[in-house]
Amino acid sequence: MIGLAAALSGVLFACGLYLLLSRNLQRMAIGFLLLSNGINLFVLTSAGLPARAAPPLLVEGEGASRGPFADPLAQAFILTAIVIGLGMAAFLLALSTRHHDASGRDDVEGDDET
Amino acid sequence: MQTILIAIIATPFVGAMATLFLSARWAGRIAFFPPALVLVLAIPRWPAAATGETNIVTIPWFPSAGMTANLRLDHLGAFFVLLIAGVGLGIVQYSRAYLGKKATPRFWAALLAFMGAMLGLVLSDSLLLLFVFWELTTLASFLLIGMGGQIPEARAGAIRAFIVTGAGGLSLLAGTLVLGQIAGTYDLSSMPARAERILASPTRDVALLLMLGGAFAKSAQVPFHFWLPGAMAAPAPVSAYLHSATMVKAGIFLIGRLSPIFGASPAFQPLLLTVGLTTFLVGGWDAVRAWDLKKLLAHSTVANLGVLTALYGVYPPAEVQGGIVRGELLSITNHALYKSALFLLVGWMEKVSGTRDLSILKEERWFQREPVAGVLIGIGAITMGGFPFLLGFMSKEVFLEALLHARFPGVVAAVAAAVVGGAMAVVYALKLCVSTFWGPKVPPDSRGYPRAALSRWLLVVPAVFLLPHVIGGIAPGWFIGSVLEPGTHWPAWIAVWHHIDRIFLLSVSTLALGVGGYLLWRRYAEVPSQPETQIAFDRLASTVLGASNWFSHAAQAGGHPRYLVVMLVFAAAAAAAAMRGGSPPPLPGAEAWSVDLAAASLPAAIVAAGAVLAVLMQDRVSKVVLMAAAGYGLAVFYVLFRAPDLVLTQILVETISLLLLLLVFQRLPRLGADERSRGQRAMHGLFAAALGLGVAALAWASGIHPAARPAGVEQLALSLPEAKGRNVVNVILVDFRGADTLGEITVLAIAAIGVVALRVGRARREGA
Amino acid sequence: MNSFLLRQVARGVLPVAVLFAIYLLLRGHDAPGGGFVAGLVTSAAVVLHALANVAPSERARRPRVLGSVWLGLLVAAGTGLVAVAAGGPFLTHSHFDVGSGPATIHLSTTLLFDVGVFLVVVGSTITTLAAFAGGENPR
Repeated sequence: MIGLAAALSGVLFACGLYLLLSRNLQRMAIGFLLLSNGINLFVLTSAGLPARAAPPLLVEGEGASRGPFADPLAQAFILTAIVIGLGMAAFLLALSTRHHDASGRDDVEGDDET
Repeated sequence: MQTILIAIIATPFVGAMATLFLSARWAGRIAFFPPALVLVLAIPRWPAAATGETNIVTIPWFPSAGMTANLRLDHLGAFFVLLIAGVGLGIVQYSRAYLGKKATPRFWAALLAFMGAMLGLVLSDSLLLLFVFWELTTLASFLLIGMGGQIPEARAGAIRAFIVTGAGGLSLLAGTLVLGQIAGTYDLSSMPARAERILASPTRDVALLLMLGGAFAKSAQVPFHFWLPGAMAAPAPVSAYLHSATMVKAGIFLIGRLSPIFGASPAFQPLLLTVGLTTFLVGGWDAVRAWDLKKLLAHSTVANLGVLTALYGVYPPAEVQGGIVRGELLSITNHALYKSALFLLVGWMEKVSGTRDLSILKEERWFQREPVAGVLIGIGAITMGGFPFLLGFMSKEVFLEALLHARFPGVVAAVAAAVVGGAMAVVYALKLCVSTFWGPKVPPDSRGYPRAALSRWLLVVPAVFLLPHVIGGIAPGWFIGSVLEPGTHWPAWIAVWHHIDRIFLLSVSTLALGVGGYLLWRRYAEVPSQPETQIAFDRLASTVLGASNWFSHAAQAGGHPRYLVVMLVFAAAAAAAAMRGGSPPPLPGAEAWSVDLAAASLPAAIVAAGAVLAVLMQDRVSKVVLMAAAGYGLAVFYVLFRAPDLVLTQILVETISLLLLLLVFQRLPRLGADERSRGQRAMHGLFAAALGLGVAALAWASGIHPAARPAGVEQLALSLPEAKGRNVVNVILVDFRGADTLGEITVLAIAAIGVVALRVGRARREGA
Repeated sequence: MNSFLLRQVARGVLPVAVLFAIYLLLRGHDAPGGGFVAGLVTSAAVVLHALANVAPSERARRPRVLGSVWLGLLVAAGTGLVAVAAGGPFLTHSHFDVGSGPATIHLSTTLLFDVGVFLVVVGSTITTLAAFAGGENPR
């Protein structure tokens, strides 16, 4: 199962990166979102998961003694990463439309043009 | 005491903030108050501080790392506070009269910020705090030399000063860290007690050299001395304040703070003595050759700073009391006051005569027209040359006395250097007062600036600065022995003939040598080109700039694909390097968890198919929808990872980003075929696949090998008792790592503001 | 997108969604939810409402909610500064129990901080979407 999640994070990462390497802004935006999903899954997977783990929701009176729990720290990191990914994607898109308004194009210059 | 010290440091900064919001006129008026207030606060502390009372104010900063923001007020610190505020007060008054409309609010803000930084520097007990203020003075000096950046020469001088003192600052930081590691503390006052431990460390000399590198750069010691003359593009009051009275003394101050720590180190004193005397000679020689009056003063400042450095190299460590050697405060006061007065007077001369070029001035008899300025410059030059009856004489005698009483190999060479350097001081002092005022022709009244339009403050301020020299020259016993350095013994009355001994004979021969040198100069001197060190530096600077240009072109040519590849290759290499160590045992029971495998296979298939098809499909709506499908599939995976908060967040964000993409894409042209060539696509695909494989391998390897002590475990245990929350993820977000979350929502806010700015700007343009 | 049915659904959904968001926000410290999730729920509902009820030409004139972003940052940072004023490190939270027995209500400054998060998320998400929806000029 960890293996499956790991493989999946690799797939998301590779697909996202392939699109991000394009010079077309629309492909890049999709690639960016795929890539951030891949990285989030990567972080979650690498934190591991003990067998028969419970969600990190404690019960009053028992505290953390009734383990094992999934690692809450990785989840907290990813939660904010998801939301910030959205904010970054929005900024990327705003730049794209601005670029398009200015130049009438939806791609950015590459190696051969500068 | 804490309040007083903080008020002393904060007042100029508050003033600097205030001036930014005022008109230039009011800013100039307000600027008067911070130094005055600092003097009011500091003067009552002087008698106690001068007799050895030391106040240390403890301010915790980062206790677990042993960092403090401690302040200290002692003899040396209090002396500098009075010097900075006292000279500062005069400089503010002079600047108002001298600069007129050129004194913008920004100028006042930079000047006051500099004052605050300087006060902070001399009151810091924590080396880290000292470093912060040290860098602030560098920055303020850059702004003040550049003066708005319109004049190319000023800009070049500012950049040169910034490169040298900035590099020195980095050296100081490195030295601070090394020293802090050795000593186990960053508090200067705790270090002398640990001197043995520091001196026993193998990295002792590294720390010493790095710290002295910073001090030498700031105080323009050889080989870093060339920046100071370049900084003379600054207006006269700035040169007087920063580049003679205060900032360049910061290095001397640091050496004073270090001498109780490193005094017994075998390298410390010989290094200071050698560098100091070399600087004395090099600066003196440059000043003798200089034709620009301001550059002459700058070179002579370099020479004087050399003397101050050398003083610390002469006295045996046991005689260094609280970082002060005998005669040091005398020498600093002497130099700071006469040199800033001379800078101000040269500023006056430049206004009056329209030039500061000695080759023109020496043909004219300016004393006829400017007797007051002539007398004042004369007083300054007399003390600069070390002639009897003024403070400068005492200062020079102290230096010779120290050298003669010292016991070290090469003492004869040191004395010879002192005599030659002193003689050169006589030469350039005579150049300054005689050649400037006693030329053959009386200048016509039409030359220069209308005299009536100049404020009398331009002469009053330097006159006030010169007053202590006269007082100190007449009654050195009282002035030095009671006011400056209580407890030390000095002759009571004008002490020229108090002895006829070796020191006196040396003094006389220095003077004779100097007068002879001056006569030779008058006869043979030719107008030279600029000093060679400066040319060499300009070559160095252009080489540095050229190299950095070449590097940025090489590293940043082309579009983002190359950057991405470079960054990721480095990241992958770093990850691979980190994984070279052995691996811990796999997570116990990792395989037992595979009961979820069946449940995971369907969402896994959705995610994988969504991602791959989002790449392959050509139509952009299909691409977006498939991407969202992968995202929703991931939400199911988060269920299996026991992460309910993530599930909610993922579903919502996926929905919103789907909406966002569709909204935006309708404004962009239809998506054509991939613009990349077949070969490029293959390369990118291969690269992406390889990195994806690496990511998967890394995730798997770290997923099945548990960390020895995951951070999350502690947070699970503390969540209920400490934060009274049962949802540990939320507790981490709002409590344990609240500062992180604050940073993250700030990023979110900035992104939103950026989006609005980009979109609204466009709407405005279209509306117009 | 302006159909009658959508409008009716959206009209019903908005208040329910906002109530649900408040519920998620309040319970966030003890159960799944919290400022981020509640903010996203509210944003999604507001956007749905806007899409259904507002004609494209009016969208451009919709008031921007950037103020909510500032307010949120202020609330979150202010919560931290209260602790500093009380002499503790930045962002130290305090807890209070109001009432007694089974009627005890637990109050904490963490909730205030989460409200700040909520406001920032709502403000930035809606602002962003509104910025793209406004000023129609499809090319």
